[in-house]
Amino acid sequence: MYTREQKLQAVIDDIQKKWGDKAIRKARAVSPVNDNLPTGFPSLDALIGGGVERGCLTEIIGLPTSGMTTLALKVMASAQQEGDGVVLFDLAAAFDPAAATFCGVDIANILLLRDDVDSLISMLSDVVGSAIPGLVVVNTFPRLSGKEQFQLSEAIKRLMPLLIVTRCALLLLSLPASGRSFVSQYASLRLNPRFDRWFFANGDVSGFQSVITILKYKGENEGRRVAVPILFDDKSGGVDT
Amino acid sequence: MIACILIPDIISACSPEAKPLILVSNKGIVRAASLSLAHKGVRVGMRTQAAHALCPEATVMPFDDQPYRELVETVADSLLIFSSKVELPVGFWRPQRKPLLSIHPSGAIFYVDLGKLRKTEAAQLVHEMSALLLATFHVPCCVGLASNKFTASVAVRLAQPNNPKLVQRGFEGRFLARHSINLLPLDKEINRRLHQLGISTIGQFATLPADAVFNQFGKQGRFLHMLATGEDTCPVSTRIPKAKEHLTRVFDGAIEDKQVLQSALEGMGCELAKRLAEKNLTTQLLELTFATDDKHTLKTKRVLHEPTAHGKLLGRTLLRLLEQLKCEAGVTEVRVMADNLATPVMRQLDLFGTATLNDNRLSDLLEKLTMRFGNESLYSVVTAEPDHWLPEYRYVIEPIEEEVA
Repeated sequence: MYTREQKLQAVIDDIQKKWGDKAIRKARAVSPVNDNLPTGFPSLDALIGGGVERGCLTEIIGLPTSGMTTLALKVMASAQQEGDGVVLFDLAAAFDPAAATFCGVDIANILLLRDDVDSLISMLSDVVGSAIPGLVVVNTFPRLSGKEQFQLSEAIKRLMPLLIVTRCALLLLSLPASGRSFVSQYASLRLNPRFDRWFFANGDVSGFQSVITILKYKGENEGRRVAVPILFDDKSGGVDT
Repeated sequence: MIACILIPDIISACSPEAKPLILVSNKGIVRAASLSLAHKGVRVGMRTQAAHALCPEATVMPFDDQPYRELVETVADSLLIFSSKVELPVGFWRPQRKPLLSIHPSGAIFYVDLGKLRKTEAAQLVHEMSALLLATFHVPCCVGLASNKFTASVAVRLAQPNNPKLVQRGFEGRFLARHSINLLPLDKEINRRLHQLGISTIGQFATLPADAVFNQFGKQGRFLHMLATGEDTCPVSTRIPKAKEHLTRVFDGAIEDKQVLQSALEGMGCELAKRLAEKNLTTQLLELTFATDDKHTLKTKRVLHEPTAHGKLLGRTLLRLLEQLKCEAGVTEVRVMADNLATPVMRQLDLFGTATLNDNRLSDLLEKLTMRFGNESLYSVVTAEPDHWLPEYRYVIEPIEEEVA
């Protein structure tokens, strides 16, 4: 008699013969390759499994001067290093090329989109669906109205299956909401950076320390905090803490 | 001739220091138990409290099937010297209880196809198998010999460790006839209907007309009827052993100096890489084992992100494993095992192609977006005065022109 496993193996063999080896595989046969996008802060990466996960939504919630934008820029730089295209939806029209260059972003290879929320929503599904960019960053820095939040939340809800298929990482930068975040249920990772203290070098402010709280994560590190240094310029000549 | 080998107490063979053992799942269900407990009525699927009540002196441990699976696989590999056809059945022995180890509560079974052998030759071979298993793994085994798998699996129930049970060709039906119908792999519905028909032995089932059984129970019924009459046509599948690479270094005295261990491990990494390169293989799993002077064995392993045969990388991984082990006693022997061996997948290295490809792909996306939404929302960053002392003057963000898109 053929056991269930033998029957299953026969079916798998048939499918693989017909459609190729990668058409169907046992989960344990898939090599555990960690292809997350590093955040550029090893202490943070260690807590979130190596970085921002592909095929998922990551939300960074923070106030100005919290390290939110730097964190996003570092992720963009690591995505480019991995050979991925990066698309930035800059609703705030606040993209700073100098800061991006300082964080290691190749600004010549960034596609920048600036428009209102309606256009953004229309373009977002096209951009993600094209499977070309490996990282899409949406900066919703100006506080969105309730209607816009709802529209964006619905758009992201529709995007979730597409993200999984295209393995595109979606990074959403937003301000802290008084109530529940409008996309919190779709985000696999939510980070909340907060300003902690200034760094001084040669009598001048050279950066600050940001404390990043992991608000939501599938692993055991949810709720943990990590302090990361955000430096303004590489010419500051060190940090006096 | 097919041999069904039953190792009755593989649980104790894996954990000789603590027995008898009851291994339970997270939900408090017995997943395996030592043979002595099986004799006292402990069964797979039983609640832990009930099993403990049957044998209060037993040690209850959480079930981790990894060591048992590894042992079973090793035993199966060792049997390959007798035949290339060695099979580890899963869930066949008692499918209704679904044991994890293809066993009754404490044992593991293997099928070995011995080919066309005479009775005396088969008996001799079985004797050698038993001796090998006893010498290598310190486990006694029972062997049932028959012309097919099902009859052999029933015969092994009557065998004793030094007394294999042989069912001669042509006598399978007669041998099976007196055994309970429950030994057949029946599903619940067929079992219920046979019970209602008053059929309790395999012999009673075998005497039913084959066509009537097919009409009543379909294909499954026909298959069961064939088994009951002693006709099992399922072959023993061929086993392909997993390739592993072992490397051992024995020291003259116990080594406590970490630097010496580090240099030894780096050397072993290089040697391992050399061996793998000779065989055109890569590894993705490294296991490091230390034998210490206080007679303990420390073991740890690491799965690499990608298969490799690079000496430095292997050496670095071994050093990380050394950090994990935190060995305080002197080390007398170091063993390194490379598992998950595979032939390397060739990749075209292209130093400059990625950026170009990336650039081209973004251009494609840009073109698509422009066609669909126009170019009012699309911007690019242009370097203006890269050496300007004010950062905001170094770059300019410009709308993308139509012709560019």
